[in-house]
Amino acid sequence: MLRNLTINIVASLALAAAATAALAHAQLQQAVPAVGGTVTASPREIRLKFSEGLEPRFSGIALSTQAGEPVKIGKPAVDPADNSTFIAPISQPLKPGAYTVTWHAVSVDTHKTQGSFTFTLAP
Amino acid sequence: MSLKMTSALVGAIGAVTAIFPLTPAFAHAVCGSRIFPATLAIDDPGVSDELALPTLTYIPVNSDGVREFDASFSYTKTIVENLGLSVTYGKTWLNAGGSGWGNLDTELKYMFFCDEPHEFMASVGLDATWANTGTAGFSDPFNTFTPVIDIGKGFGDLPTSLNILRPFALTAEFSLSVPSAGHTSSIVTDASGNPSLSVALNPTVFNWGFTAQYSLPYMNANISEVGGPDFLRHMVAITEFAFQTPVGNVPPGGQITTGTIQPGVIYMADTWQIALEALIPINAASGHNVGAVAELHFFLDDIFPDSIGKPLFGGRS
Repeated sequence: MLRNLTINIVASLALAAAATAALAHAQLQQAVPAVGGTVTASPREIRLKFSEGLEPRFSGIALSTQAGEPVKIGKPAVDPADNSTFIAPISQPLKPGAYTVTWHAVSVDTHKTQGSFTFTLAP
Repeated sequence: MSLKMTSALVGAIGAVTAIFPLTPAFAHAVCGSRIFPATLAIDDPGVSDELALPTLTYIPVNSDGVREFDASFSYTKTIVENLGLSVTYGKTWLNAGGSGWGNLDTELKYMFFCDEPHEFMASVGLDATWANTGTAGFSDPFNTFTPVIDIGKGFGDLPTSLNILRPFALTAEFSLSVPSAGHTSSIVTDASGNPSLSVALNPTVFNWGFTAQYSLPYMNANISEVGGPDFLRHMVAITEFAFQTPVGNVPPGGQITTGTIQPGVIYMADTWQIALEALIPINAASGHNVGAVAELHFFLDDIFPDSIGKPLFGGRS
């Protein structure tokens, strides 16, 4: 009986976990420019793909140079077709060098995550 | 919490022959960019709504000819944010030796510190194992109270010149298990049927250990993209080191540190994780063969964020 109860609980939780896979901590899955990558042309946007949908009012992206100087970028917004993709436009061409992208995200179920990564713009 | 059973076993009346504790489950923790996974032997410093069901432990035939299998569950409920109460209960099967439940274990835990930029966090707790809530012969007739401190440190704050080390993290746990009774008396009968009084000391035990983790999810999000199949981006390589040292009320010859080294892997999905580790005894007093432990763990705060997965009072900030 205990074994059956355990199996039933685990099965129910597994179903619940599968059904609510869009409710969890938003973890960065992919970025353009790539995390730790090198690009040869100045990117026109920063595009971050997360594991969960974001609440854009409480999420953000910042860009800075290797020296820590902030770089002005546009206001980030979620992709209208995919609320787990967060995009910040870059209106001015970047100079060659290393840059740091810092992000914070609040998923649609209000869990918070944050992170940062670098990319390099080759001359 | 994982180590609290050890004092019971060290001072036990001898019915349970294995030295490995039942392995309860522990919470995952988030501090800054770091997500510390739930670990099996050493508690992480986080507090959240979670359920480990089941945790399965197998210990092959020991020198005394006994094979052991344990199954347990652990449920953690947050009362207010960063303060939680966990309940752990489990059963042991011995071949030969029968089966029975261990004592009920509870822990009140508070995460009091998180330095996000440095991925450093700490918590304190009070664990209690309650007498006579298990099966006679598989549980102790006394309570055990264990103050606990847990810490975690991610190395994502290292300079980018050390990128290869930034996915690395350490967690550590220190606790002191104090039995409510200094000794346990029992009547034993020899082969001739003559009864005699047996008195076993219940020692105070210092539990200590740490985990070393290397997180590919952290690498993928913060350092460089992890290529290959998607499952790699969910893997954390881990080795846990869990030790128990009797420090007080120790019977003659009993002052020896026991423990296990537990290399393994953890797969972290969005709302659950599964972990598998080997159990390698550090010396003959800790065992003679390599066992295994596995655990399925559900993040209830992610699965049910608006109901049973949120704190009873105050919500999440």
